[in-house]
Amino acid sequence: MIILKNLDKELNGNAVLTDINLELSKGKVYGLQGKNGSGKTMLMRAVCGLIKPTGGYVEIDGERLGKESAFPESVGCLIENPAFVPYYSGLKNLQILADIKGRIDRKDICLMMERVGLDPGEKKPFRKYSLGMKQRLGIACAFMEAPDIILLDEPFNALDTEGVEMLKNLLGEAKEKEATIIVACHDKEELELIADEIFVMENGKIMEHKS
Amino acid sequence: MNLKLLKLDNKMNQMIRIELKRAFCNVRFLYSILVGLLIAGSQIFTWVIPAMEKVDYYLLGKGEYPVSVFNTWIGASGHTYQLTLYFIILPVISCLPFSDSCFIERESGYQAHILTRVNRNAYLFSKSIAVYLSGGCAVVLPLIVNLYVTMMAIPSVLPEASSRTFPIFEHSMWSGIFYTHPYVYLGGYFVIIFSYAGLFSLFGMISSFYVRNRFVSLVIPFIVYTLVNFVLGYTEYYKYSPELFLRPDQPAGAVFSSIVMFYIFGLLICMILLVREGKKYDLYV
Repeated sequence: MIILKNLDKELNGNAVLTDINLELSKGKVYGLQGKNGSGKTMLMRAVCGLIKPTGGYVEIDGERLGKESAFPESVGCLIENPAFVPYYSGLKNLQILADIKGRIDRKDICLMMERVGLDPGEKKPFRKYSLGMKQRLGIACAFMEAPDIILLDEPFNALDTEGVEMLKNLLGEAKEKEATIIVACHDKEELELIADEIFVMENGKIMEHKS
Repeated sequence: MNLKLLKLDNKMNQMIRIELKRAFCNVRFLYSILVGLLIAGSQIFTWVIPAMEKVDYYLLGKGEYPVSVFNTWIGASGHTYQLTLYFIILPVISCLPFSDSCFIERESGYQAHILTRVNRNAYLFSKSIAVYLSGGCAVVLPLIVNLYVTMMAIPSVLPEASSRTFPIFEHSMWSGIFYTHPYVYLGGYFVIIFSYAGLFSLFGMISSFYVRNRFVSLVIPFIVYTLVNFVLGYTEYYKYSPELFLRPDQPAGAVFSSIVMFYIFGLLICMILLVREGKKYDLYV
């Protein structure tokens, strides 16, 4: 269970998140809808411990971020653009990250890469990947360790029809495994298809809750 | 709680292993070694190989005192441009392998993936160790190779102070060790050079926290080093310039206490800045 209580965040005197109160359960897909700059990405950063709230807190399974733990124990994220070391291959980028926790091995990474439509044997560096390939690698990174929390910011960007289908399948499987999934997307229709509940954001505030 | 700490330690060890592998199994580490070998190797052609003839000359009974490894290898040939060049560009060689890795990870956004797997202090600590060791090795390895090749070509004749053919004078630092156990002297100097090269590369990594340009972060240690050498070179404190006291031939004489003090001072500054960086929280701000 993820609890966000009275969450505020200010950056250089500007409020980017204001009084966010959410309770997110396991096994559900939550959608964040809103225009650019509405605070969707900042909210995701707060959930994975990348920013410190100015007020309020984020609690994950009873542990407050920034106090009991610095970041969620098991989280996979694709926030903004897929970000990897430009001169490493896709496999090497994922391998380094997977080695930190040591939960999955090379074989698992290769399987996940194949699952998202990438060739694990591809030697070319990440910087030479097409936009679609970069996005697929970002998705593989978010799902590869079967995390309890999955945060996806505009995951459908640069994906073709086949890619969108693949992502929907992955989301369905993660949901079955009781993961808490948060998806930010500007495409209202796409979001309504995959999300169980949708929060509409504007100027850093939750303006509407659709179930 | 104990279990949690143990988990963190395991992650820390894992991070150190990953970062060391990335620092050493890296094309840039090879490039920096190659730059060092190019300079140290050219000294073999211009100085060591010609000195081999002097060995034969001595064997024929014509020389007064034999040439020795200890006045022929690059660290003892103060009059060669290779030694001067090597110690001028020392910070560049040390920063080349891995100093900008934090910068690349921050700018690419890769740091976000890492910091959702391991805490910031563990990340910075493991990165510092890898940067320090790779920088030290990149500078010291070519010097060791040069010494080794010189040992294969020239006999390790024990230095004799009265011969006046060795760079270390009676009043120089560790002169007693040099004239009795020269390899211990060289080992000690390698430790000093390694420590300072590691410190320069660490300084390069830390400077990358404050700049937005990768190239600038790589050359900051070189600029600071050159400025200090330049300024001190015009004062009565010239012997405290790192370029001179790091050279094993001690062209201006070296003072061990000042070598240690400068090192501790530099390390303290680096540690303060690292702790400050570790306390930062927000990423992408």
